[in-house]
Amino acid sequence: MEQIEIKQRKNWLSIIGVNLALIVIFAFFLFPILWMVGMSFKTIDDILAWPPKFFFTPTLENYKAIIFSQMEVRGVGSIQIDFMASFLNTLIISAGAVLVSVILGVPAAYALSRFKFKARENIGFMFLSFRFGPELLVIIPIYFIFQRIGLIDTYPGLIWVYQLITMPMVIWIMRSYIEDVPVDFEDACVVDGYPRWKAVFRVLTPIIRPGIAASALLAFIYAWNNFIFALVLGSSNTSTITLSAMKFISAEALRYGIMSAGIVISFLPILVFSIFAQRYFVRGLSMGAIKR
Amino acid sequence: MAQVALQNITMKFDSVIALQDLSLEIEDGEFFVILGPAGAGKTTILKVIAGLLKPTRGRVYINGLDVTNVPANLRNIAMTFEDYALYPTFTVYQNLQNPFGALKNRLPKEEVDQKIHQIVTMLQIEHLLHRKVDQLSGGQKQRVSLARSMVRQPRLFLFDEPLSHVDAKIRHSMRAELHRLASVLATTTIYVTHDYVEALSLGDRIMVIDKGVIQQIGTPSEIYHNPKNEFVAKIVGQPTINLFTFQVMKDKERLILQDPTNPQFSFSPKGQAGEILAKNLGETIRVGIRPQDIRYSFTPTNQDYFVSKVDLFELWGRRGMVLIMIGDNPIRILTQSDEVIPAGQEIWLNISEAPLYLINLAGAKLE
Repeated sequence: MEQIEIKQRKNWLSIIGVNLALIVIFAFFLFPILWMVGMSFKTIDDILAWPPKFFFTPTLENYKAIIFSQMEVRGVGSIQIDFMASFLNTLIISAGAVLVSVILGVPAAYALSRFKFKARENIGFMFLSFRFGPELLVIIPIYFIFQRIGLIDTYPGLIWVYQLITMPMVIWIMRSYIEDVPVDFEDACVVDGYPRWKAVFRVLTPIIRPGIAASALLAFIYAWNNFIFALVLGSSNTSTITLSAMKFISAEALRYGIMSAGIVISFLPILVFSIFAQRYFVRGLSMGAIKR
Repeated sequence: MAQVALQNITMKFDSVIALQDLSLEIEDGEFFVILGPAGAGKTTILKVIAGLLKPTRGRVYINGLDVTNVPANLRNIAMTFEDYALYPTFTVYQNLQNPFGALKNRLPKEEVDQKIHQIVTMLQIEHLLHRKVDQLSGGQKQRVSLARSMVRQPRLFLFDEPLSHVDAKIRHSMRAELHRLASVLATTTIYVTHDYVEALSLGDRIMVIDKGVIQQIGTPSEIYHNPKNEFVAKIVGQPTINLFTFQVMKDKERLILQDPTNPQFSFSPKGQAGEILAKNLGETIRVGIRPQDIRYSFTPTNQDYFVSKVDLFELWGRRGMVLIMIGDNPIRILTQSDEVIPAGQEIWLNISEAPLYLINLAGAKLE
């Protein structure tokens, strides 16, 4: 009896210990985010207060300012930063880039995994190498080309250049995903009487759907967070949120509160997507998830 | 209804030769079995006939027409795959319906339903129609994949190890069922297996293949009783045929087979092999003896018998297998009863009256 009790107490203690450790670790990593979320509900005086205030009266002023793009600047009047417009810009550019990548990248991944052709591995590696090169390396020549053909500060221009970010991701995730699906499914469908391309649509596409979802989501996150392409190749028409967030740092004031509110709004879609698609995500990334 | 002919088919995957200069003809309505170990190239042959693989060299003919460049979807062939390849996102019904979705197989919906109903009744899978594929057991998947290949009237059936993944009990009844279906439908069938019992019981003719090379084509009886080489002799029969290396000698007009490494192990054959042995006097040859052809006794008998001890006994239901070691030579004997024989038991053997399979050292049959 006594021994069992000791054992139980030990278990109990270890559970508490493990959870405490986890809380500490999470607090450490999540603290900056939590602090930022807190800041977005604080007035500028609370933000700048020393010692830092952990308890404060929350205010929605920052969010109001962001959403209605009005911000008071003490003694000067109001300035306008259209944060919601850049939110929409980012959405259009990122979603457009991912859409193009999926439409072109999935067939490319199919070809790389199913067909044998000369330099197959080299071509596959070339796509991957787009992710190795620093973006700054290519941005100057792209800038000059875009200027010549009038793609600076346009949606198509940015969607095109974002392919450097999203396409390799879609191709490489989908390639290994398709390689894990036995070719027998398509073969069986061809024997059933369908041409090869129809068999792919009919039989393979539903099987690889989780993979497409996962790779698209991952590509979307990277596109959403991109800064340098938008900075150099975009301007007022296509200003993305990563750029707009910077604009809150201006000569006459650092608007910490509004900046925080902007950042919270900008990471919300990613957060919602990730939670919503978590199951797809885990399944999509743990390749070989398809059992025969 | 189809005749199939392969002419000098060679198939290479990169540097690996899967099929080497293979030619064969399959008659209309024939049940043709391809028997061979894993990696022999059996599935490759099916895929070449189906049109899923294009041979590196050689031509494929169906009904006398060269179809080598005709794509698989236009050949009107049905095939089952070793892993069934049932579409995992479809229900059983959708799987069976799939062939009718193809343009050239389009039929009115009532007719499709009727055909599906007919085939599921025949294979007793009506109750599974609305299940997803992952809710089926191996035997059920097996039936569904057979149903999918039989639901339309193809001119040729290709079955790739259809019974290898189902348990022994179902396998037996499915084998009988397949046999019945094949004779009812009277469609040319090519059946791939590594199981010699399936091959012998189902096939009108059997082709034995190893490493992409045809070893022998013949009726089940020819394959069993008249194997062309050591490989064919070994692939049929359970337990495996006993193979010994003997030297052909003569002792006072009597031919004697003598183990060159073990002077104790020798006998004088009494069967019809005498003529061939006489031609090979002095040569070293391989001699095969089927495990059921060896006579044995547990009491001393006449001089043709020699004595040894049982090394191992396995009871196989109504019969048993005795293993005896003579020097380095294992001898397997299939017993005629279910009597349990203890290890160490003295046993008298007579191999002099057994039919002999005579093979030269290169592995080819001695004529």
